[in-house]
Amino acid sequence: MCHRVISTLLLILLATATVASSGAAGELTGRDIAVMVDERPDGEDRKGTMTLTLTNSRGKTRVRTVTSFEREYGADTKSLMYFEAPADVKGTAFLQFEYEDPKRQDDKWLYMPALRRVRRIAGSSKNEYFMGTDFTYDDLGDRGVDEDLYELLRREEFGGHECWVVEAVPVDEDYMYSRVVRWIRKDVLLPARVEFYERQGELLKVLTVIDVCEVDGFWSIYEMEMENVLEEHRTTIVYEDLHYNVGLSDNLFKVSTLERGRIQ
Amino acid sequence: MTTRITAPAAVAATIRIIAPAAVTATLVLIISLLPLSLDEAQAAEFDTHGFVDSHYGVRLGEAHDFITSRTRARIESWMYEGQTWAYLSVNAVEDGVVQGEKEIELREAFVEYVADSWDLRVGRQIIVWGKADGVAITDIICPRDYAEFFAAEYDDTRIPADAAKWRYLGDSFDLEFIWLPRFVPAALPPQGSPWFRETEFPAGVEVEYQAVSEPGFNLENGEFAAKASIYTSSVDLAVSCFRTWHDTPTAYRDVVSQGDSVRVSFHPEYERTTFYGAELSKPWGDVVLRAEAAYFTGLCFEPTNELSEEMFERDVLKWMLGADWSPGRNWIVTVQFVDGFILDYEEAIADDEHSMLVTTSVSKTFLRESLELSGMTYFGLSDNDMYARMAADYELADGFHISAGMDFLSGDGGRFGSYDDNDQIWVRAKYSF
Repeated sequence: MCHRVISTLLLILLATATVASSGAAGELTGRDIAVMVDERPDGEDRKGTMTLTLTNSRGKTRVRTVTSFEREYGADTKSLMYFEAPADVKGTAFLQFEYEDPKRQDDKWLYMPALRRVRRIAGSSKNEYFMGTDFTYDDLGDRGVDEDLYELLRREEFGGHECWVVEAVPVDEDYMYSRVVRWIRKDVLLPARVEFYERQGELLKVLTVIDVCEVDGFWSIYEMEMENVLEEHRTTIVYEDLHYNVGLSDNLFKVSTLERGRIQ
Repeated sequence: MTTRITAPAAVAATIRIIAPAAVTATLVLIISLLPLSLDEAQAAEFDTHGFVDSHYGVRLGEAHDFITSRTRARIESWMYEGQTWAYLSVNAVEDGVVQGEKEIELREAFVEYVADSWDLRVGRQIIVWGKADGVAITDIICPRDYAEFFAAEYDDTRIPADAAKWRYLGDSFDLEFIWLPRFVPAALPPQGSPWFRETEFPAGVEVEYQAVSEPGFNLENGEFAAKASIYTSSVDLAVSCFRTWHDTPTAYRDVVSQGDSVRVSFHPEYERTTFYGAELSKPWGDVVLRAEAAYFTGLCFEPTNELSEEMFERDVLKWMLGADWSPGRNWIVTVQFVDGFILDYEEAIADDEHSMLVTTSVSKTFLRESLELSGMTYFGLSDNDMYARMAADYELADGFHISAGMDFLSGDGGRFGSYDDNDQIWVRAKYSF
């Protein structure tokens, strides 16, 4: 209960501060909301396991399980993903240093147990699909606020929650989406629904957030589903054992840890 | 330290134990980690996985015989207890072509202790160095198993080494020391294998091979390696050195002429060598540049005239320059140039002064990464020979893959051309659990 109060207060303070700085008129803009979402408190570090279930148009499913660790270093983030399932990729680990500075390329290393070797990999693949799912790396990660232009389209209720409907149009005209429309819940600053439109303007994917929980004082998505409406394919992500501010060691985010082949 | 149980019948077994002391020491270390009480059993964590795979290849030449026929089962177990963990990997193999027998093999067995700034791994283990793909330059800590040559996956050809590996783990700097107390030679194709090749001698030459003796199991004959690695935002760098034995023996010979007949008596010996290596890996946009070099001292080369007794001891520089390009949409393109350069070369040496190789690899995944099509080629520029593999791999269900492909080898000689008649089509199924 105490955690809930603290996090709600934090959100109110954050929203108030952003509104206060949003201009003389005090009107909330799309960009203000994007900044609020981007700066939503999510702890110094976090870890959790996500199970990704891929379902094709014939109902055939494939399941992937990944345990992830993340730690903030100022504006930069270090993350480690360890693949648990399916068995043929178990032990694969991916280390990434993400930099806030858009001019600086992210650092990425991949350990593949069959090769027993850590490999440096190229850094610019944020619009690639993650493990064959309907999520791109960008969809799952933190896309920089400055990478899009925003417009607050309207305020409306969605799924029983008061939402801002914000449209984001990429600055980069060659980006894989022409625009993204998000229904942002006012109470927890998390999306309730996201629509992704492809380059020709047709609806490509719809993300529906199914379950949101408060963990360690921070609001988190626990279950969501991304449906590719053009390919009739969908991916559900369910999080487990999600925790914040667990004191993850610096040693976790080292190439030498990847080389060990096991993450304890 | 190979513990190998050969079982022509299901139950009958021949146990070949080369270094029982080393095996025993590792197993004692692992067993010492086993929980002794119910409480300890609850505290320790266990994890067991593995796979079963079958690989069959048919030669494309006139014979149309099986050139690959292998089924493997592997069990891998991990156990954790605090900062210590143990790993055990056992292979059961039935090979219908090379060995023609069933075999159970202790593949890896080690214990690792992990402290804040260092770790120590002791036991049989696979150690991989280097940045090159499919080519060994500094990646020679583990000797190679060439018994099935191109029929085996390159990364499956490393023979696990009995070693103690200690690492200092800095923030972005690692230091690594390795001691290998026992020499293990490379495994060569046995006589009768489609990958076995014999040196040809002129008619009338009588050839005798004496058994080669391996370096004894003592401190003096141990192998020692050290490596320093640094990982930065712009580049990964490493320098290394390795005091080792050459994995294959030098074929010293005595040539005796008696009238019209010539007798060549080989008395092969394993030779010491040292290399000094360097590695580099640098991301640059969608490309990762890779480079690797090793300077070997005192490698022995055979004479062009096989009836000469003279051997040539020379230093050798091997190097590689390569690039991985990931243009997006699940494409990966890799190119490498490799050269082995014999210093102070003279014409009487049987090997070429330069041994140049270009490798290429292209792969793309489809159907949400469940189908991968790939092509890989090795072009030997010195011998004008080539090895190419085209393959398709499909994930039928989670952890269950089927794949098929073709291997082509061509040329009049050289490392690939010698196997010109071993082109094959193959299929493989692998289930991981």
